[in-house]
Amino acid sequence: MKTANRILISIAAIATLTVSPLISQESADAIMKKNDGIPSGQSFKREMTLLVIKQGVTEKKEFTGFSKKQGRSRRSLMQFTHPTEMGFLVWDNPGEESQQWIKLSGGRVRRIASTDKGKPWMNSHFYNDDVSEKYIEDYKYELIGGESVNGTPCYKIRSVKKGTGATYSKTEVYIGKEDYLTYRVDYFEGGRHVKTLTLTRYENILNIPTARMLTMERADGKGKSVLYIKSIRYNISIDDRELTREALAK
Amino acid sequence: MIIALCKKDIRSDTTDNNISTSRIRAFTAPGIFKQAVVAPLLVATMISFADLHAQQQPEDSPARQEQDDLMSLLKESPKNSFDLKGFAEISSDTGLSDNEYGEQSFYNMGARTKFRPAYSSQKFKAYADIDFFAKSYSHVKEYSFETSEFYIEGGNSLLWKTGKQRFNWGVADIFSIVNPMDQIDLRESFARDNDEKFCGVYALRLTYIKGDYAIEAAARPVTEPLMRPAGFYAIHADLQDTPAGTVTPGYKDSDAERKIKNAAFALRGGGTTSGLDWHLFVYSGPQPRSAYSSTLERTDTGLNLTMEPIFDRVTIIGVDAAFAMGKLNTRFEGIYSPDMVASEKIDDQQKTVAMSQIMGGSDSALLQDGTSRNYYSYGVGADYNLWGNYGTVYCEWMQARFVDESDIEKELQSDILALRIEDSFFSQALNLSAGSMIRIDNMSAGYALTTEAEYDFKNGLTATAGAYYFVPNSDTYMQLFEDMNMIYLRMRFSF
Repeated sequence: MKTANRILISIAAIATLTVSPLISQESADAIMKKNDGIPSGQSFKREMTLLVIKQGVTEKKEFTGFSKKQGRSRRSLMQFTHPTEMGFLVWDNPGEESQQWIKLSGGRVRRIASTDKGKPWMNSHFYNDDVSEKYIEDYKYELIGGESVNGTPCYKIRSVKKGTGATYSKTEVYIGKEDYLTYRVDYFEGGRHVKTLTLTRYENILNIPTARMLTMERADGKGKSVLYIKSIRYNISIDDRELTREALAK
Repeated sequence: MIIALCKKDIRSDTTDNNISTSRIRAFTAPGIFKQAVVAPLLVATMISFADLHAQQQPEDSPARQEQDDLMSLLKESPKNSFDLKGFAEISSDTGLSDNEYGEQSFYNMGARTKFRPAYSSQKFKAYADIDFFAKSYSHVKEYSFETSEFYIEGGNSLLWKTGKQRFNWGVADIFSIVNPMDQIDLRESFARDNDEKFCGVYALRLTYIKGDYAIEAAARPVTEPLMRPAGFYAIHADLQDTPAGTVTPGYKDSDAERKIKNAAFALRGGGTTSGLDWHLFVYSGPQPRSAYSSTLERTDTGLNLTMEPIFDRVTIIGVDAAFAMGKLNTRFEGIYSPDMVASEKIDDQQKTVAMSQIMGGSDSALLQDGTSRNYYSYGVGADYNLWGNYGTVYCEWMQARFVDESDIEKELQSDILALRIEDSFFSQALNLSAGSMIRIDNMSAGYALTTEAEYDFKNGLTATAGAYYFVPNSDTYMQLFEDMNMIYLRMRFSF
């Protein structure tokens, strides 16, 4: 019996050693769950400026963003007013590929193919994929360390999309240890670090932490895009009809 | 304490403009707070700058300098109800073959200024799209202005739009088949943007959106042909010298002659279902394609062949759909009409009858009339991302047919395959494209080649160079373009 107990203890010890990555896996999942649980607002309207800096030339774009959640689904519309009038519509549903449309300056509306999600969004350093909702269950997480981002102690979590068709091979997300906010994301394509998103100037609006400045910078330093929220209104009434392809075409 | 005050105030506020206000409340006197409420936008800007400048950056550091530069660019633009956009463009076309004036090569200079003023209020939006053209051809100078759009729109549950407007129906990239409400502009042979491919028309449009679907009703008075220029396709190369003399063809397409007194109505519905964007429509109005009646008329010098466009009322039903499958974006457009009018074919017997009437003393004789037939047209297209972010190939095929074509002139714009490949370089500053249109009508197909290079200086200035080259062979359709071989250069400044 004792022998049997010793074997059981040994198995338990081996099992503990074996599952230690699983424990960190659980920790990563727990951290990301807390991150995911931070309120983001049922709906919002944002006035935004996008600066695209490439080869020393800065392009300024301005747009109004509308977004509304229904359950876990979210629909977002971005209406560009400067320099040209264009529109971008995103439908996100859990378990489904994000649907996106672009309204060109001539008035035509085009559906964006799913593999075009890795293409630059409005000629910036953001990709089309970056403006769609991310669902926590679509990714595998692993806690790979801790690091400070601009003086904020953060968990460093590796995130890999489950299944095929991922835009990025992996991302490394920096989550604040105290507030569970996202402060930085490193994006990798084919295992190579290609760009970094930095979220700064967090402000609390109706208990919704909001990063007013998002900077997506190429890893080689050759250009970046800055997205700045000039004003935002949360939990406002947005008519569902405004967030349809038919409304985009009008 | 100050932090605590800020947090408390933040929780009670609803917008980030008010957040700025709350911070002012924490730091400044009540008088300033009142001012902030009156002008929250201004305060938001002030505080954004104040916050940024308070960040821990040495004043002369490059990072601080960069941040200052960025923030000056991010500075709040003044919110205006009135907005003015547009561009100024200069262009030159150099012909590579005989043009319609018999010149071996022609050289045209042009200037164009487009203004797009817009006014928005809570209840409505007013918008205009106005072009001023100045063209200097080898033989003539021309000044004109066009109002492509001039409308007001508004509404809440029921959207309304009235005035001169473009409908932009359809999903095709090259051949528009399901857009009978707009006036097709054929002056730019290879225009890709809808604002170059279509002229606006005076119309009233009502749209009701429910869920992901919309239904749209539209009405427009029709006072001029649905294509510009009106006589584009009508050419009778086979009728020149006759026993009664040389025939001079002419079109009744002066402003007064091509006036139409009619109206068009359309109903269109559609939306998005399981990833498929689709629309169905029914149209009743003057036919959007060209058909002609032709009359021989005796003159002192010979015979005139006068061709008069027919714009009889027709019924059209149509469908368009778009669907994305992985890297492939697919599109379909199709229409059917039970009563589209075609021009009768001029056969030897008709020529003989008409000539005998003229020789017998009649001043005129009808040579060709229009006749109604079953008609269909469809186009299928796709684009596929071949490489990188922008290396894309576009392909589109269109066909148009009358069900019985034995005694009528076949639809000229049919059986055309269009291919285009494009890519961008240097962060989308340099855009290159090359394409071909092949008319697959007989063994000796005519084709066209196009190429274009555009450089975007990213400061509003773009420079474009391109060329068209047509190889018509024995194809009647491509022969319409054979004097249009050219190289063009454009410089455009957008504001």
